[in-house]
Amino acid sequence: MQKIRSYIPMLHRRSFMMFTLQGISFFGLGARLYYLQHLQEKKYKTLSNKNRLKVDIIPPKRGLISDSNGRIIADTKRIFRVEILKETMPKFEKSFNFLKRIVKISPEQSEKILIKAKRSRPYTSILIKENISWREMAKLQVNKNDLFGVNVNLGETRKYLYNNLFSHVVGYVGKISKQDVKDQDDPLQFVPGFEIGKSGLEKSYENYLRGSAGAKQVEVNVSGQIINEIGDIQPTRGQDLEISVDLDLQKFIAKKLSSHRSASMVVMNVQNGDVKAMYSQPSFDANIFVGGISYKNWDKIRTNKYSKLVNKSLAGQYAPGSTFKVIVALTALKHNVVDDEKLFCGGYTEISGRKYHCWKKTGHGKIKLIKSIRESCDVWYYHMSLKVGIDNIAKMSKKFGLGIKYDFEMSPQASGLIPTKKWKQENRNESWYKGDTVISSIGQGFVLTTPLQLAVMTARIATGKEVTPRITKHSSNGELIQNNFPDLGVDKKHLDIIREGMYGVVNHYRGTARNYKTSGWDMAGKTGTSQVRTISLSERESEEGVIKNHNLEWKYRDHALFVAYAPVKNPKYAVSCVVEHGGSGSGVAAPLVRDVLNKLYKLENSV
Amino acid sequence: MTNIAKIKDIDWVLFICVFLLATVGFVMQFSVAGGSFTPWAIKHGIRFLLAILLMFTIAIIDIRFWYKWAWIFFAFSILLLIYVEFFGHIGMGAKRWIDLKIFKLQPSELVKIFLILALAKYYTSISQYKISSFKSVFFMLVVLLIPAGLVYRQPDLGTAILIILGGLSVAFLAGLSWKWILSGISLIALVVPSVLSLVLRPYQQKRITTFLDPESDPLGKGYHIIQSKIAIGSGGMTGQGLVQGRQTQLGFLPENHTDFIFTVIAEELGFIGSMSVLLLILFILYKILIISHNVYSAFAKLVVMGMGITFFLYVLINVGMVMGLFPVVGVPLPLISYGGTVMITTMVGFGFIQNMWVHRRIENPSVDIEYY
Repeated sequence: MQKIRSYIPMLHRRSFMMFTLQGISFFGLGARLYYLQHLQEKKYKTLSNKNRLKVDIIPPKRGLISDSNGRIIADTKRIFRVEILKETMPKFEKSFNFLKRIVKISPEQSEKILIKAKRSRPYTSILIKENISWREMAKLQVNKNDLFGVNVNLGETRKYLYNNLFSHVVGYVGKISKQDVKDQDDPLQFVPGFEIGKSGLEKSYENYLRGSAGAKQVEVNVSGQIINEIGDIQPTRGQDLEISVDLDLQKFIAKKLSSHRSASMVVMNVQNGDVKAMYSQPSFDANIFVGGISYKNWDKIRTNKYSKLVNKSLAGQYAPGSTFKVIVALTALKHNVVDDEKLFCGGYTEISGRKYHCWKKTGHGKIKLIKSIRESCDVWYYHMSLKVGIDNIAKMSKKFGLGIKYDFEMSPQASGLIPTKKWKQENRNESWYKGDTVISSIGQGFVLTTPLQLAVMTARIATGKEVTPRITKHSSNGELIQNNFPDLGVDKKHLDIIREGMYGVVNHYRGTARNYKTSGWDMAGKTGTSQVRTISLSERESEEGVIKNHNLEWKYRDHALFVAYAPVKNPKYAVSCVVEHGGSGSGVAAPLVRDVLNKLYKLENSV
Repeated sequence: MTNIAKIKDIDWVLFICVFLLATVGFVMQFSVAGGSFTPWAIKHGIRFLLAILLMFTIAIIDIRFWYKWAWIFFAFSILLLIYVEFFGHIGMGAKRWIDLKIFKLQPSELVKIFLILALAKYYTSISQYKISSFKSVFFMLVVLLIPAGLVYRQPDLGTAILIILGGLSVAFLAGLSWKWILSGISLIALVVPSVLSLVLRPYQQKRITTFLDPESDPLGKGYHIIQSKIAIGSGGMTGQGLVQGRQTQLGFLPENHTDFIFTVIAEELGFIGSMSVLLLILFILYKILIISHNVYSAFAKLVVMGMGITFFLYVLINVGMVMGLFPVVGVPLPLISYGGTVMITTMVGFGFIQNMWVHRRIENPSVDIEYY
C-alpha cells in the first residue's frame, strides 16, 4: 500500500461527513416522528377510531295498535333478514352465487341486488332477503364458514292481524324510500329495510309509534368482524296506540257491507267524539304492503273500480240527499220563517215557471215541519229554502260540521262542499239562481258531504254540542285530545223539533224508515237517497214513470244514505251510512244502520 | 492472537447495543403476535442467537483472509444471484430466494456485504491518485451495476437502490473527487426522473405515485401508507402499550411483523419508545464511526464505514417509508423486522466491523499471513 500521509486524514474527514449526514437524517426522522405523534396525534387518533369503531343502529320495536278493548290489531313479528357486507366477502360474485343456492332469490331480485352492490357506498349493508324461512336459516348456519360477509340479523316487521278490517283506518307500513328520507334526520333511515307508516294512523302517528333508535358501538377488525362491544344505548320502544274502534263492531260492519260493491259506515260516540267504527267497502289486505308490494298487486289495487285504497268515510264525497233537510229545517226555524199552516204538497211545486218534483209522485198533502222530516217531503224544503236563502243554509251547515275539515288525526280528509252565492261566482263564474237553492235544499246540486261529516252532523243534532271526532285519546304528539265540547248555540227548542221529526222517521207509522225499528235502544234517523243522474221530463211522464233503481246500470243508481242516533233519550251513538249506488236510503242504508245499532246494543249490554 | 483473545477483544459496547436492538425486535415480535412467543418471537430469538455465532466466527477469522478472497466472495454472490434468476423460489411475486431448508437465502443481501468488501479492497489496492480516474470510476460503476441490475430484474427495486447507494458511499469515503460527486448528483437529478418512468415496472410506478399522493386511492395502493401513518400518529407520546396497538392488533396495519414493525413500535410505545430506538441506532452508528477512526488500515476503515452505511440505509429507508417520507419499497428494519436473511446480513455486517476492530493493529492486510 503506497498511500501518502494525507490519505488517512481524508478518510477520517469523509467518514465524519458521512456520520454528519447520518445524524442529519436521523434528526429528520425524529422531527417527522414528533410531527406525526405529537403535533398530529389528535387527527390520527380520530382516524384510528374511525377505522375500528362502528356504530350499529338498533331499531326500536314499533308501538302496537289495539282496539278500544286492548285487543291487538297491528302486531310486530320477528323475522330474520339476510344482509351482506360486500367489502368483507373474499370473492363477491362467487359468494353471492353460493348464497343464492341457499336463500331463494328471484332473478329480478338478484339483479337488483347486484346493481345495488355496485352503487352503494362502501361498507354499507345490503339487504338480500327479508323474512327467510327456518330452513334457509338452518342452512345458512351450517354453511357459516363459507359465507364470510353474510350476516343474519334479527328484525321485526308489522303484522296486521285482521287483514283487511282496519286497512283504511290503521293504514300500513312500508320500507322507507328516498322520498321519505328527505325530511328525516333520524339515524333509523340508514337501517336497511326500515319500515315507516305510509298511510292511515300508521302514517299520522309515525313519530308516536316509532320510538327512538338505540345504538351499539362496536370495535371491529379489518374484515369487519366484531371484536368488542364498547357500549350501547338501548332503543326506546314506540308507544302503543289504542284506538277507539271496537273490533267486534268493525267486524260486524265489514260483514254487513260485504254484500255491497262500494259503501262506508261511521259509528261515533256523541258524548266524547270517539269513532267506534269506520269501515270502507271494498277493503284490502294491509299485509301485502309490508315489506314492499309487488307491481302486480299494486296495479290491481290501484286500478280497482271501487277505489279500494280510498277511505271513503273520510275522503268519499257524496250528495247528502234528504239527510241534508234537517239543516234546512233548522235554518228555517232560526230565521223564524216556518209558515207551513197552509203548505200543501201535490207532488211538485212550480218555481219561476219550472216544475220541481217531490219524490212522492202523489204528494204528501198538507205538510208541516215534523211531517216533512218524517216523510221527507221535498216540496216543504223547496219552499222554505227560498225564504231563508242559500247563504243562511250554508252558515247552519258549517255549524253542524258540513263542508269543513276537522282537527282529526287522520288524512286525507275531504272537506265536502257547501255552496254559497260567493262560491258559485268565484268557482263557476255564474250567479246563483233560485233553482240552485231549491235543489240544494234536498241535498242535491252542488252539495257534497263525507260520511264522517254526516255522522258529526247527527251527533251535533243529538247533543246540541260541537262534537268533533277522535279515534285515539292522544294526538300524535302525545297531548290529550279535548272532548269537553262547547255548546253549539242552537235553540234547544228547535233541536227538539228536529229530533222529534227524526224520531218519527223510524218510529212513526208513516216514517220513511218505519220498517227498521231497533230492538235495543230506540233510534232517530233520517234517510237520504241522492240522485246521480238527471231524470228527464220524458222519463218522468212516461208510462212506466221514473226507472226503478234495479233496472239501471250500477253507476246510475242512486246513493243510499242513512244517518241515525240512539238511544233517543240521552243519545250515545251517531251512525252514518252511505251505500254507493245502493238504491234508496230507506230500503238499503236504514236496515244496515239498524243492524249495527242492535249489534252495538248487544255488545254493550252483554258484558 | 488466539481466538479466545480475539473474542475477549471485540467491542462489547457495540455488541450490547446490537443485542439490545435485537431484544427490541424480540419484544415487538411477541407483541405483534398478540402477546405470543409463537409464531415469530421465538424464531426471531433463535435466529439472532445463531447469527451471533456467525458474527463471532466472522470476527475471529483473520482480516487478511477476507482481504485476500474479497473478490472471490463477491463473484460467488454474483453467481448465486444469477442462480436465483433461474431456480429461485417465488415469494411475494418475486424470485429472490434460494431454499437452504434451514432458511431461505437471499443472495441480494450477500452481494451488499461482499460488494463493500470488494470495493474496499479495490480502493486500497490502487494508487490514491487513480481513485478519481475515469477508468476506476468506470470500473466501480460496472462492479455496482452488475449486481444492482440482477437484483432489479428479480424484481427488487429497494435492494437494488441499497446496493448502488452502498457502493457509491464506499467510493465517496475512499476519496472520490468532488468533481465526480457533484456532476454525478446533477446528472441523477436531471436524468433519473425520466429514466425511472421508462425503467420502473408498473407496480413500482404505482408505489411512487401513491407515495406522492396516498389519499388518491385509500383502499387500494395508498392503503399501506395511510394505515401506517394513522398507527404512528395515534401512538402519541407514550403509546398505547405493548399488545395494545389498535391498528396493529385489529389488522388494519398490513405486514406489521416485517416491513412495518417500526410502525408497531411507534403505535404501542409512542414517541418516547420509537425515538429511543432511533437514538440507540444513532449511537451504534456513532460507535461505528469511532471504530473506523481507530483501526489502522484504510481497508478496515472503509469496510467498517461501509458496513455502517449499509445498516444506516436499511434504517433510513425503512423508517422513512413507514412514516410516508419515502415510497413503499420492501426494506426491513434490521434486527427488529422478522426475517432470516436481513438478520444474517446485518449480523454478518457487524461481524466484519468487529473483525476490523479485533484486527485493528494490522496496518497492511494485503500482506499474506505467512509472511507476517
